[in-house]
Amino acid sequence: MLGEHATEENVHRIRERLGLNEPLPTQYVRFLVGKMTFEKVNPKDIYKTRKGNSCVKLEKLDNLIVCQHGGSSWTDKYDQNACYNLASVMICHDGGVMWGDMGNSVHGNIPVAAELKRRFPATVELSLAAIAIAILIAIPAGVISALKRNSLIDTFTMMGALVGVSMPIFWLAILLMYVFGLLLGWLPTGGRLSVGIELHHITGLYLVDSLLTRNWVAFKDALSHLVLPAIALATIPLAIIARMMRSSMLEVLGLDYVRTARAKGLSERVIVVRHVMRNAMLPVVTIIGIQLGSLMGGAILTETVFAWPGIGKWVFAAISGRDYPIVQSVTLLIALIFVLVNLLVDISYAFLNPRIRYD
Amino acid sequence: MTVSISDNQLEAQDAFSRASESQFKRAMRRTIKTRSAQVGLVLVVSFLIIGIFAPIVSPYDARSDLDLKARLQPPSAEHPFGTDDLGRDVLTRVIQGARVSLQVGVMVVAISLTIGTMLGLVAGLFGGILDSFIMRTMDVMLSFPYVLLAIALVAALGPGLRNAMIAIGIVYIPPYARLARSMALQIREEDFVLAARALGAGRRRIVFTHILPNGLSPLIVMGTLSMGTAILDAAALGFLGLGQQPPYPEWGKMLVDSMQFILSGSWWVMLFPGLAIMLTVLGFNLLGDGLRDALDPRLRIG
Repeated sequence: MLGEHATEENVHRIRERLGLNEPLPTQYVRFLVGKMTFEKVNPKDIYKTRKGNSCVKLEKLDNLIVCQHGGSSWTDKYDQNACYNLASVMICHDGGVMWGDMGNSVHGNIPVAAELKRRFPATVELSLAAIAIAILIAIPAGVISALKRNSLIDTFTMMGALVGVSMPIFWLAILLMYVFGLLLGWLPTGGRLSVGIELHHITGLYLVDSLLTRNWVAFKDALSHLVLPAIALATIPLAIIARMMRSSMLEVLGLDYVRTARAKGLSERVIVVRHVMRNAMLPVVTIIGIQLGSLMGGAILTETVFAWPGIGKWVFAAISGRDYPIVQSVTLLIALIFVLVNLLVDISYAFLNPRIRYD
Repeated sequence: MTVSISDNQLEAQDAFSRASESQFKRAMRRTIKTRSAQVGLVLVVSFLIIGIFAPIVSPYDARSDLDLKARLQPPSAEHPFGTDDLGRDVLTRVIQGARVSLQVGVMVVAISLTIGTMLGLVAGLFGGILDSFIMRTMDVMLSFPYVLLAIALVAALGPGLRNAMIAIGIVYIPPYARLARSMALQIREEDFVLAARALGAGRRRIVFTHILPNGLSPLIVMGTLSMGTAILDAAALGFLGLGQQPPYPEWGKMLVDSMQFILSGSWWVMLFPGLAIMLTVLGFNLLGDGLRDALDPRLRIG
């Protein structure tokens, strides 16, 4: 940060300011909860103190004030002393992920949380579009190739899926950009929105925003920007989901209850939709979850090629520039998403297969 | 008495290795029967040949080949794949890149397979707190998208081919550890392990002569498949500027360099390195699938 010719004194000062001279566990706790101080104040003064305090942020933990349960104020029914003790604890904090404060970036000293909030929707939009494309194409493809096993369609689909997982995603991105962006000129080659198009940001997902504000010009423009990166990002999940769907379908098709259903004289359609597909979805849902979680890896590459202003491109620049607060925050966020998606997948099992229950 | 036992063991071992060899031959025969595995084998073998004999098969000398007068030439008889922005023959660079990718594939699989298998075996055989510690560490590694983890590792180690290989190798450890652990847990309950233990075989002997050989086929399949993905990921790191540094040719790096020239319509600089990556990875995937079908019928798809 100071360059090669920094004096020892300056280096020491910076280390002190960033808290690098403290032991690692202390630094870790500082990262999590910030520098906390607990202050006792008269509950009547809480709002007054909040304004005049020197801390960066001051929060009153409303839920700690036990005697305010049920809407009654603290002076009413309850023992005034107990209330006083609980209500008067105020927490002052300086930084700390727990409070949504992720620190400032090394380069430019920008608050990471704010920037993350600005960029995250772009990545969410791209990932959701990609996984939607993947699911919409992969599931029918997998079902059809399982039903028409070893037919021309099956061979073709599975070969396509294999090529899909073998292809470098950034190469496909460049190819798409070259063919559709440059040769044919149908679609833009980068960015999220053309210059000069106004859009009122509500959710940060441009497609949703433009729909909400009925801004059709912006909708069309945002969509045209989204198509190519989403297709590029969708390739690998598409191929993997299609293969999984096919093998899972084939496994279920050979089971006894399918033969029973056939023997009962059910129509093929009912058998496939209600008996086979529903049971075959279980491993596929797991795979979809895993893929959604790991789309981030592909997003770094896709966002770089298409100049998509999401967190993938940002974190890559941060890693190259050793901007640790950014890297830390983004990894934390991604791991959190990964865990949440896995939780959702587990919960969805219960809907797909009622026999699975976690007691 | 001791002599006769070791004689018996030698004989048994001999019979075992003969049996396993014929099993291996049988598996290979079964593998190359399918059309897709044949295609995979051809792709992989030609990739290996090109990689190993790169200096001989290149039409131009990779080091002295630089002709600034012939920049960004489209494909011609002289330069079948055209030339890049410094007038270097793209075909030569693609061939030289095969060597880098071959190195990456071999190194990554060597690192991840040995360390992962070792960790998995230790976890599976010792159990207890060691098992929990190893496997939870693996779970933590798996809770990040592996490309991100690899990028972070390279960023920490410093960019370059060697560090890229180490990073990808480390990131690939958890699946091997999981596989080896489940394999160890499964095989150690088999009767022949019990028999070996009853005969007084030590832990090391059981691991190396009973558990490992019997669990080898899934490891071989996984090794083949991850050879392909390792090449893909190394190209991704190269694409982000974290892999092989210029001027040495690397497929991913060639692709990112080509991006600025496609605006002027120089598609050949971008097309051929990408095709090379795709065909190589496709070859390993086809071969891996074929091997899996032949070696482990339980895993057969369709």
